[in-house]
Amino acid sequence: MNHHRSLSGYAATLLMLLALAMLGAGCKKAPVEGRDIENDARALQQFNKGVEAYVTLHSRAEKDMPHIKATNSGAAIVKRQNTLAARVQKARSKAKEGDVFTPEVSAYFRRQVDAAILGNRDGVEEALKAAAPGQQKITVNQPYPEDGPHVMMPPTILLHLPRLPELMQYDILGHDLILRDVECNLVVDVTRNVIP
Amino acid sequence: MRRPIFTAILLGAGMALAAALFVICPAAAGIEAQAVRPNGGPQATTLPLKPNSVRFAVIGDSGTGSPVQYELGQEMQKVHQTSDFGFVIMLGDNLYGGHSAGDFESKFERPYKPLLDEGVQFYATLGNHDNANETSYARFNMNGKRYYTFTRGNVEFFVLDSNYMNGPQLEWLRDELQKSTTEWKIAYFHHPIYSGGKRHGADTDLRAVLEPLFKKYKVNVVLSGHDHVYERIVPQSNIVYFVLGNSGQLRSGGLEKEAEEAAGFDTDRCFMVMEVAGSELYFQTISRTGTIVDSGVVKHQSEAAGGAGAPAEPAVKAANNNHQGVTSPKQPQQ
Repeated sequence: MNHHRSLSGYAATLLMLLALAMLGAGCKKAPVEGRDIENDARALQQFNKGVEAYVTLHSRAEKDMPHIKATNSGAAIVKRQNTLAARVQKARSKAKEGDVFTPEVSAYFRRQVDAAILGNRDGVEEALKAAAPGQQKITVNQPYPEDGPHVMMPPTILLHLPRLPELMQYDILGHDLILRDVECNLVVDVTRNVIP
Repeated sequence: MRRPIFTAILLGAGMALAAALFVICPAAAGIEAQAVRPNGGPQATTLPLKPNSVRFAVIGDSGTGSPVQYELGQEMQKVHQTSDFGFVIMLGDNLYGGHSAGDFESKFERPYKPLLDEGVQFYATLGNHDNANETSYARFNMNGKRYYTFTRGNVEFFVLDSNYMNGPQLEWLRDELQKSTTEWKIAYFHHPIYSGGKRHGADTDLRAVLEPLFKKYKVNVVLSGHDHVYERIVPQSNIVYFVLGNSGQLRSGGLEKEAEEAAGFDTDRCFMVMEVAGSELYFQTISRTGTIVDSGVVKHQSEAAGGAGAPAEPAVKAANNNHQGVTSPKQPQQ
């Protein structure tokens, strides 16, 4: 009798797990099919506003700095990057995590990343293996560590994220998505645990 | 009377030599002939060196600043004296580690000083160890751009930034390929979309967005770095792929023997010399010690097809060493 009960117990557990798995599969699809379009639009607008504000600040910081298109001097390139970085850091001295990636924006990005992965799971997961978290510490308004390699942004993810002005790029480190100013190599903002 | 006999002897000797160099193997798709030679190839550059051809060298993952990078630079200078290649294409990771002013000197200017002094131009792409501001470094000829094209003779080069293959870059690439009228189209970027490298291997997500464009617009040759080995891939959808990521770095034994591999070398640093002469592209892969570890000729797809309407599979006639590559006298590790 006990044996019978335990068997039916197992069966019930199995059924419950199956139901949960099916629900889980449904959840995976939800970001694509059951999206709240207004919510997405609001988050996107909020994100674009944050990016525009940063671009304005960046432009002010480099106002009297000549743009270098091509120079034979490595020193001139390094000097420009460092000077610009110092000015941006000063102008953003109160910047903090979440200024651009607000909770609403982060949730939108999470949905977009999920949708991208559904599009090419194997390719993206393979590419993300290289994004394993290292010793690098990511802090807003601080330089992105140059001692290690950058992780190639999987194109499938990139094509699902909002486009950025040329001076900014997304980076992935571990599970975090980083917004980086490539001209002065500063972390503009970071949103944690967006990448599975 | 003596002249015909002499000519016949000469012809016979030539054919015997050709047979020795090119051992016909069961053909993989697109490969006319493949040879396996004993270790140690010829030391001198033997490209056809035809007048008005487009000649260039290739380096990848070079910018370590280590003594072996300098040694490879010296070997390139030697080859330049005989082959007179006009420019060098760089497959990324041009400067490893820091990016101070001194790094530009020790990892690029000094190792290639003899070539720079002789007016050889370098055309770089960005690798995952590069700083985006390298695009402003005039000696890399990027003119402030992450991706660009340039044309030499009948060849157009499409230089891409595979670190960040976003929508605008893909749209730009499609437009540039669409309007390109050159006979040869060569694309190069850092991350390989075909590779037998154990460390990284092929990036299939990148392949998913690039390969359809390469196929549609008939790109002939694609070169990448990132895996610190040399590899020539069996033509994929009519396109010949090379991986060259050991011009400074080296992952000794870093090649996985795969069906897609036509030739590989993973025991020392190397660079390539290429010559495009009409509808043929000659290539030689040369090690730090001056040994030719792989060589051959790629026939342009239209030529290999034997006329309109026929399948346009590129013919690659090659003479190469085995998968492990030749054993060099010195094997410095890094």
